[in-house]
Amino acid sequence: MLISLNHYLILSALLFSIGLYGLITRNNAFRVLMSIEVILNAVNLNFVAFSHYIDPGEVKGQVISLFVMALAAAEAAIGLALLLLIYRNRVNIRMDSFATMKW
Amino acid sequence: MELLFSYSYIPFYILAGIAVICSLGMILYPNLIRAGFLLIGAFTAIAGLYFMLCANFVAVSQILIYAVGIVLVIIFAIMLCSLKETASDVVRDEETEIGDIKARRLIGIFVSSAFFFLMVALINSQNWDLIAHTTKADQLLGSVGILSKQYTTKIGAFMLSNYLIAFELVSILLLIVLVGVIILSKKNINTLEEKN
Repeated sequence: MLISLNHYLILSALLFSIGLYGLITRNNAFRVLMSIEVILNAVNLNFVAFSHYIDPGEVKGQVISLFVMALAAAEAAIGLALLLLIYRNRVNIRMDSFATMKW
Repeated sequence: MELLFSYSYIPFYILAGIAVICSLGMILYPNLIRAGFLLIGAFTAIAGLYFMLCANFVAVSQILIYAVGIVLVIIFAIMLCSLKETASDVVRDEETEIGDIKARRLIGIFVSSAFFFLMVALINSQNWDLIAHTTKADQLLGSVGILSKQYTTKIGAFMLSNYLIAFELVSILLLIVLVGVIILSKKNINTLEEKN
């Protein structure tokens, strides 16, 4: 029994759903950030699996997944700086405590 | 060698299980710091999956950037925000607005499982064997060492030729992020503005 593309696609769909669940339900802003990282990883896994199975010998998917990693690093840095700023102003990091932009 | 590849599903299922369990634990585990360490486990398992896909360079940068870089920064930030506050977060969630939390959980389970089953249905409706070179990929897997060396060389060449603009844009983005983060996390932005 060989591992085919389906296995990787279903695994990454599962990881994406787990991240989505965390994104929707968790009230702690750090956990929301970590869920976003899991979602980005699921997408990366898809890119690399497609690159390996659909055009073997080429590296387009791998290069794109490296760019996604750089963007994820940028996103994490900005997100954490914003969270520290919010923590300084509100003394907690619960998502519902800074929902003032909600109409 | 052939025997080895006919059993390649064993490491796949082990790594996939670690990744899924660790990311589930990251969401459900009450202690936030330990959730961060579970995230390291999930990212390392995904790096192992990249190794299985012959993407050695991506796997190593996954370990370097995600498993060590990003998660460690997140854990440091968690430690900077007072630990007692965040560790009891789940408990306080249960105490306040129980109806709201329950409704949110139901919505979350519904949305994520609906998405998952939709994706599984879509994936299974497609006959991937027609376009996926499974046999060719497995033949390539036989020469993992040579191939991944080729891949690493190719990635370097691609980044400085075909994807040069994207590469430069990413480097500018990282510079902007660096400056922006320093300005955002400076102790007193207001006094800085007054001085200017």
